[in-house]
Amino acid sequence: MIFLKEVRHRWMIHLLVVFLMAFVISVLVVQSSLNSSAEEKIDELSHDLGKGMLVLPRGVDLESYYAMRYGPEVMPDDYDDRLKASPLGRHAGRIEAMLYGNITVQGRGLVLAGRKVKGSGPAVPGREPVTLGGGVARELGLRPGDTLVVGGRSLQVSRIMDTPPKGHDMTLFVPLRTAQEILEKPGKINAITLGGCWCKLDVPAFAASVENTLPGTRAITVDGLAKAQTEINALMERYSLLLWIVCAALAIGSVVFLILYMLRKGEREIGLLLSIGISPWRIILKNVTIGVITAVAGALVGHMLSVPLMSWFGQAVMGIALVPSMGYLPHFVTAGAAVALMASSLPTWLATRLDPTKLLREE
Amino acid sequence: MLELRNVSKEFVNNRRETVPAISDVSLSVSAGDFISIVGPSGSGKSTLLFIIGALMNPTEGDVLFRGRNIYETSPSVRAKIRLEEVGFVFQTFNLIPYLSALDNVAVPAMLTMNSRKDAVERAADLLERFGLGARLDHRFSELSVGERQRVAICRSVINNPALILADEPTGNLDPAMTHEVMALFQELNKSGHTVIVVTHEEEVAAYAQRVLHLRDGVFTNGTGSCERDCASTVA
Repeated sequence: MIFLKEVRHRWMIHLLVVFLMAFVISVLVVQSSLNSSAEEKIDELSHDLGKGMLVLPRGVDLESYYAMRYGPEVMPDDYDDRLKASPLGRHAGRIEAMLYGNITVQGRGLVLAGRKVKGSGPAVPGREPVTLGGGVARELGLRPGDTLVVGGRSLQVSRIMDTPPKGHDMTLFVPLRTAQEILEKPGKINAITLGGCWCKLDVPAFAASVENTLPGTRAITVDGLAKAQTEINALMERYSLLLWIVCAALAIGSVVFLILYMLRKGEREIGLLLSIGISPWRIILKNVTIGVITAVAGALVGHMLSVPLMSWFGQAVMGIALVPSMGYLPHFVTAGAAVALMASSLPTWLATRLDPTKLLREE
Repeated sequence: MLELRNVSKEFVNNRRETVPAISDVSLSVSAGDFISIVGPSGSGKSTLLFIIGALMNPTEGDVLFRGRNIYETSPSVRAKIRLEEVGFVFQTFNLIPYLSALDNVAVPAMLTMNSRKDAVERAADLLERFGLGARLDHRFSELSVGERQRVAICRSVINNPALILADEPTGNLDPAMTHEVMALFQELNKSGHTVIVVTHEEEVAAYAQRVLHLRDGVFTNGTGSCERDCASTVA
């Protein structure tokens, strides 16, 4: 009872220590689960990316891109031509520029994909062709030759794809110019895919050259992601001992600070409790309980904080949002409690050894 | 009930000199006594009270409580004596600031009673009896100084101790409050508690049955034996 009221009375200092502990734990969770999370994520993405290369405007979230949630980031629609004309072009057997966007047709959320169509002349208003993924045709009840209104423009269904590209069952494929006008992004694209055999190429170096040739872009390959992961691993290995030492010192320091603060503020209380016959071990138990509860709360908050922190770190270093492993939670909660137990016992024990009559006489 | 035999207490000051606080004091206290120990500041009153209350080891001599030398027992036994047999009242109240009056009074009882509920009920009854029924949920800062001292007295008696020790209990009170508090001690004494009050004020000391004067760590008006001193006590 007393300790809960004490925590409530000195809530600010407890909150500060919770945040210090949370910071420490979140850093350690990120450090611990970065490698495994990155490995899992790269495995997952490599299925989508295959051996090809994806060039996106810098700032695009790769996971959102694969989840078909397209943002405002764009790049000029002559970038594919610029790449073909560069010395890099000979290494790419296929270069395709696309503009993707999310649209709503008849209350359904669909994807609009604009692509350059070779040899096509200027579009005829009301007769612009649209190729539908099978799912779109089924849901909207469309057949070849039907007319579909998208963004105030009439499109004529030219074909229905029974086996659309992976994940594009609910996509409308239109000429790039039409997509640019519907999505109000004239002269822009938001993806270029490159294919080719790069067995004898240094793929990460090739990706870097693509990024130099096309300013404001990010070239993504499985090899590139793997290289970034290797770099993270090396970085973490190099600094992990130092990181653990700093974090452990910070965690122990924050609990000791809390306990010393409580003891300093509560000297008379300790004197009083001793004078009315409360045994020293009960006082130690009270302070240790407060220390442990605060540390455990910090560990839980820290684990929650590690989610955005890890996402940010993954985005910054590898361009993918990483998720911390929940498997570390019990370890860090236990470690936090153990640190608090050790850090709070000694100062409290020393305080209970003080002369209560002196503590009570302090004015 | 309580006997001090040739008790002395010395402290070592910052210059590593030995300073005597209590010198060869003997005192005999019977159950139901109300004793005042009066003396100027620095005469050793509080030191003597802390020694009686099992809080401070004497340098020399014996302190017998119910026939047992309390400083030959373990710290945990002394803690148990303080919890169950002794109630302390201090000049500065020493209430826990973040607890209500009710919780402050209930704290010692929570360790001796079977349930928290019983302890709280008993604390509430006591506060009611001492005229603080409307102040149960008030914290330290919301109580007047007189009320604070009454709360502290309630806390000292909640475990129904045989001995109540009060260290300058009226030091922070005005004359009206002083009378109120000392009348409370008289009432507690009449209900069977042995009370020892230390004070520097003769008027406060006069509430006791027996007044002992302490100066430079020595009783100046007797040996502490009731048979010899009670006759000179101001009733």
